[in-house]
Amino acid sequence: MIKSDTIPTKVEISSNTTLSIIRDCFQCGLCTSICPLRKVSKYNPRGIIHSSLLGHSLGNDDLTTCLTCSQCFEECPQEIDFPAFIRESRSKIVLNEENFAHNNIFNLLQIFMAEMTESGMKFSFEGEINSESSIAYFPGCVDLFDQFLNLKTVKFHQIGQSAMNLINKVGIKPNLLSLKCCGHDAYWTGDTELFEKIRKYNEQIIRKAGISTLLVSCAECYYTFEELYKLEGIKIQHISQFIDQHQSKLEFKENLTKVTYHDPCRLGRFMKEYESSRNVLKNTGASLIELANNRKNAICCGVSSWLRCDDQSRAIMLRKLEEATQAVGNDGNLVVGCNKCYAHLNCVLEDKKPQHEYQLKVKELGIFVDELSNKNN
Amino acid sequence: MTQADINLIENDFKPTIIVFACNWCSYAGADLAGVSRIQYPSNVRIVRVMCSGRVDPAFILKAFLKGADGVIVAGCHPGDCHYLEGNLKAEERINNTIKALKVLGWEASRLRLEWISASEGKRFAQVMAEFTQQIKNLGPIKIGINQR
Ligand code: SF4
Ligand code: SF4
Ligand code: FES
Repeated sequence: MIKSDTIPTKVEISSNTTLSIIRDCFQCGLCTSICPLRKVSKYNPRGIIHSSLLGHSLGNDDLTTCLTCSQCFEECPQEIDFPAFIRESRSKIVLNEENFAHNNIFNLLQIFMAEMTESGMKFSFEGEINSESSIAYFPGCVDLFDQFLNLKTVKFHQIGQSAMNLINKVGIKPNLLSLKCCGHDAYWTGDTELFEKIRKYNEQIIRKAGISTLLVSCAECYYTFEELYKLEGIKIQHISQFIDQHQSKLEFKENLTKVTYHDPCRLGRFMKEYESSRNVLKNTGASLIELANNRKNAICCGVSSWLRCDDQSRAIMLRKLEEATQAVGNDGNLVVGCNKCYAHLNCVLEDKKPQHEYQLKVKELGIFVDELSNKNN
Repeated sequence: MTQADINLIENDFKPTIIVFACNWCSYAGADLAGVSRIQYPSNVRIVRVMCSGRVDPAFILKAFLKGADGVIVAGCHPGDCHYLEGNLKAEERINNTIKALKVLGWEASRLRLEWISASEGKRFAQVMAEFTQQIKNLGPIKIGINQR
């Protein structure tokens, strides 16, 4: 939770809800050995569980550092959902904003949307739209990223534009929904109340639109709408699944592109959607080369919920770029299926802090496919 | 009943206006307005910052979230910034923030950037009076409008 002034800054003796998640841990330490943070810092999920079980309190650093990437949960023999434990604990304290990325602007924007604005976000894209359509598209917070990330080589608006192009190319005129942010970060920073406000607003707009399919570009939107909103009768589709479904209507230019794919945690480990993106990439005619760690072993992009972007995050991002360069070389592409991964990896690629020589391109799936496919068939 | 409610009932809405004023020009300008005894609306709260470039968009959003009805960021005229280019940074940031507020579908005119130099005490007062009037016309800010 980020805003309240009245909640303690340490989680005292873990409550029943948090304890029940970790009670079965037998301290094997697998989580710590697999945690991507452990490779670049002293972060220790096993230790955190241990001290919680002994009744010690948890501090801010313990709770904000975890990327909630779920790699530990995937491997844990006792099926301890450590990310859920972290989320539950976060909801019991005030997180110290000081170390948060970009002065916490993105979480503030989310609070702003929940508390101050009567409408959803306003979008404008080129292309054909039909407000009666049974399929709607929601690009996510792309236009906000553009205002506050200031990357020179990347326009986040293009994520939405490319998706619109693709939807039109397969012959569909979608509805464009003016929703608020999906609320993923509110949920994962432990602010359930804020999340509920956003969810309620969005659900009402989605219902009113009378759609049967909601198409999203961002892996976090996909996970949030599907798992947390539980909208009965409405199918949530990630852009990769959409393209996969309409493959036959797209034609691709001859190309010799080399591409590798990064599984976003929300799409992969959380939603178990590994194959659609790969099908889509193979179908473009590009040669797909897997990362050394792929599918359920994919390593997190390094930042989550805009909580922290520090030396550790950047070290993880550099490792990702290294892994990708080993797969496709300096002239290849690293494709991601998540707006946030796209932001973080491009940021470290462009910012060159710390110094590095990587030259490959990081592209969002929709943008990549749109660039390779023919105008109209 | 809070003071804000009373003001509303009396149909005399006194907006809360936060001014981030840079130490070297705009704050001195406000000072000059004071010592020259030029009247300006009393609902203006000044926050002194070393340079307008210090004002992060997060400060502005927080001001609104805590109940400010309007926010002005005031700095030296272009070319006069004590730190050379801080005000140009500020300009870029404020413009981006205004764009973001528009994306959110919110009244971006509650946020404004002004260049006010140390000698422009009179202009400081004018800008404040005019902005206060503009915010009065917009009415009070609404917080917590989306219910759970
Ligand atoms: S992997 Fe599971 S059982 Fe082993 S220490 Fe971690 S949480 Fe406990
Ligand atoms: S969720 Fe990811 S970052 Fe957090 S402890 Fe588990 S493996 Fe480490
Ligand atoms: S010192 Fe006045 S704007 Fe930079």
